[in-house]
Amino acid sequence: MSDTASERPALGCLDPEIVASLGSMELRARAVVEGFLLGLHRSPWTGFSAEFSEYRQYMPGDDPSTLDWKVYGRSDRFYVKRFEEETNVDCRILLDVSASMSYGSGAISKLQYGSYLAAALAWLMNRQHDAVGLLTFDEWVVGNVPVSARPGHLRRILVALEQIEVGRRSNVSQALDALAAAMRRRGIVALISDLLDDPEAVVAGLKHVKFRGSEVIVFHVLDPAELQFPFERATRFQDLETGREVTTVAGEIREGYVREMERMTARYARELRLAGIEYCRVQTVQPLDGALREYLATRSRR
Amino acid sequence: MSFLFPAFLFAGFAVAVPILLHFFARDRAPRLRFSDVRFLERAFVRRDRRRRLRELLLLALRVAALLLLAVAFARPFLEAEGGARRVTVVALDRSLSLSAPGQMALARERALEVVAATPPGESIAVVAFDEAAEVVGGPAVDRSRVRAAIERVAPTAGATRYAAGLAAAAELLDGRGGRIVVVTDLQAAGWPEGARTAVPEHVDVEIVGVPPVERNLAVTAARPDPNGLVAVILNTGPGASETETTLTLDGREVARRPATLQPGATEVRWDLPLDAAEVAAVGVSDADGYRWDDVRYALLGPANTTVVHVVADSGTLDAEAFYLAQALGAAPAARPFEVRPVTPAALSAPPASDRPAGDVVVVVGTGGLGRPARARIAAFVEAGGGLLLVTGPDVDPPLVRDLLGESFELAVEAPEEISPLAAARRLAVVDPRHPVFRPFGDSAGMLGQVRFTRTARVSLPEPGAAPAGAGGRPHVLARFDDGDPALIEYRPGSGRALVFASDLGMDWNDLPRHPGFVPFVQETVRYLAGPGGLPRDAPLADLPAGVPRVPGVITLPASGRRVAVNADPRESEPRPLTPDGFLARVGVAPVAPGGTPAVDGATREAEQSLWWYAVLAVVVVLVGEAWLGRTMA
Repeated sequence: MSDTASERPALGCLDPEIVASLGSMELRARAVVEGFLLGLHRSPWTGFSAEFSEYRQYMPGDDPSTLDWKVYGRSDRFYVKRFEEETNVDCRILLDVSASMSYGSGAISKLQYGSYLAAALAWLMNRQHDAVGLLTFDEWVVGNVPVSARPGHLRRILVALEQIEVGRRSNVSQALDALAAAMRRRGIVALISDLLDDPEAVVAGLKHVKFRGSEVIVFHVLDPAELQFPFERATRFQDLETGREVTTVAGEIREGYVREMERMTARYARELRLAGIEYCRVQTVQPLDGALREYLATRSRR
Repeated sequence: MSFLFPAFLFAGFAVAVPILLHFFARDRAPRLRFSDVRFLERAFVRRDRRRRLRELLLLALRVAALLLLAVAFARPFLEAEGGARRVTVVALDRSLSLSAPGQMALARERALEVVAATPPGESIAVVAFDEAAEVVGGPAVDRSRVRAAIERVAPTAGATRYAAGLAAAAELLDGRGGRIVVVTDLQAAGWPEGARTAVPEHVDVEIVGVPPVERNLAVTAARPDPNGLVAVILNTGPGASETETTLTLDGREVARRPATLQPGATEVRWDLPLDAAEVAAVGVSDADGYRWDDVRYALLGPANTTVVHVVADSGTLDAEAFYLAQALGAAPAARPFEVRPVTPAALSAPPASDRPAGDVVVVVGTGGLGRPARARIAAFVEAGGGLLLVTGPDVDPPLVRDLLGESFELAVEAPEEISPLAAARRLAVVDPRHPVFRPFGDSAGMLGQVRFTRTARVSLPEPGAAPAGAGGRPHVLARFDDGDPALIEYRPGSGRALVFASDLGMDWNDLPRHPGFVPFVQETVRYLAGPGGLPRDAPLADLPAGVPRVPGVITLPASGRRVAVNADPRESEPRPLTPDGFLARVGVAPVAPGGTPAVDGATREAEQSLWWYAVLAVVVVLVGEAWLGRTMA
């Protein structure tokens, strides 16, 4: 488990509030990804691919396997070949749109943050020539953009993200089970959710997807108020999904609440790590680059 | 438990305020839409269970504070029958009859046994009595203090007066339930003829007897006669007693001889010239009897005379002061009066001395009584003299204002004439125990037969008015039947003054014709004379305050007169009563309607002051509430 904001200083263009102020989802996705790429030291796109990109003189530290021995034979100099990666990975983004995701103590809600993150991931995947799909769900699957790498498909995803509506109660495991049953090819599954569901069922659903051969990365989106519970006075808390009310003196129960919350996130982190699933806890005030970095790390393992 | 102001208990309904706030104020908490309340509920269940307990405790403290405050304002007190502490009063006889060897020690032992048998936690008080009573200890729960008080009680030469001891003990109980344990030798003389007393209904009287002595020898009288001196010696034993008698003149023993005393009184005579001796003392040897009655003292010179100045307009005793002078002239030779007439004008003349030379001034006329004379009379009374102001027809009301000095407001209005057709006024004695009415005993009401046709109206200060001087307020001894004061006592300075709101002649009433007139006038003047009115042979009870109450010849500090002081001869007779005979003299005091104790709730509440504890509890509860509220904030 890691809160990615603490690992790298935020870039202004990745700040969620600045991202939210941009006009369209496409602009947001582009700004996030381009800003993120600017912060990287080398191109993420070079890698294992069949399409040749360029020659470069060998530098100490380069992988010797990339040496072009034919060029060496002709010129008696060491050159390494660089290839532009071609994708054959299906990437599926699962976005939780249940009512609990609509909570936000600050400028943006968890659902907004999740949609920006999904857009950025989709843009990044598209730049990587991966096939991208989007599945939105609450207790049922409420929207599905199939996986595709065709030109123009990214716009379809971004439009879908722009039009999402807040749903009802969440049932993550049910969506995961539905996804696992529908998957034909292995790939990467990115789940964006607050995971306010039965942890045991959620972990079981994620394991199911993992069992089908896909890499799974979970973006656990939480509002800072959900973690720190900064309330003090007597308050009637109304559940966004069930409508149930609890009246209590917030300051009195803060300690117990935070302990319960930490226990839940720790449980997700522990059990998902044991299952070989990447777990990334993000707060809605954190820049989006950390989440993208987690994705790339996962992607590099494919 | 009862309450002095129970209406304040309705303020206890104010407890509804914190209760309503407690249960309904939480609904006013703002609503906040939150992602998931599951964790809130889990934390809430654990934390809020503890908090709910604290809140309930907080509510209980607030309710308790309000209730305690209401109780404090309602002024609670405990009823005597219920929670009030029961008190035992040990009335210990210390009269002359306990002065025989071993008698007082035995009485103290009996009293200590009473203390030992009293349940722990019950208060005990000790009253020592002879002819007067004195609280010598308690009420206290501490037994050591009570025992020490008992050990300090010593016999005196005083006579026994059970009524005094019982009255003091009942007063000490002050309306509480309890018992009076009288430790006494049950001497019958302690109840004078016809004497009775009463105690409150809820007070028990018990008797712890001390065996009387078998025989007592006492000199009960000693007087000079033409041939020498005669004494009467009493033998209370069943048989003759061999003893020895002595005669001492001016401190020198002049005769000692053996005597055989038969049971009863024996007259012993000494035929010898007394010459110029002033003090004689007759003694009898009595090692086993009472201590203080073995010697009797007698003054051999002329009798003490009480000098009375009568201020009358006529300057003679044959006109307006005729009946007064006649009454004083009828006094016995042992206690004579010397009546001196004086005119107001003579009194107003430049004085040879600052005050009249005498014991009592009686004013029956004020014609020509100038301001200097009035000031002289006022100074005379201030210095310890007596004044009888008779507001009859010859007294000018505006002039009497100055007679008592500036400390007292004395306003006498013009005499009020009663129509011949209307019924005459009668006299009602208000304070029959006053020495003025002592000769009448229980028959003080006989003065009510006197008919008053005219009276003066004496205005007394209102009850709420400022105090009337160091001597306190005027004390009304008798009233007319329409409520107007008839005989009022003032105590200006060291002296005594009485104002009689009518006449002592026959003009305004028929008092001089009444059989009570002579004793009334004599006792009134003697009372006003104070120590100057004492006879040569005075009983202990009549000694003024500050004079040692032991037999002997003493010189009175005020007048310089010598007085032979002896024990009451009735006290020398040890004949006892039975306990039932004693208790037959003790009645039950009337109680308030409904059988409630004579002491009212206000007195009991003031004594217990339980409201202080309630206020203290309120403070403690509020401190606890503040602390608990702070921890929950």
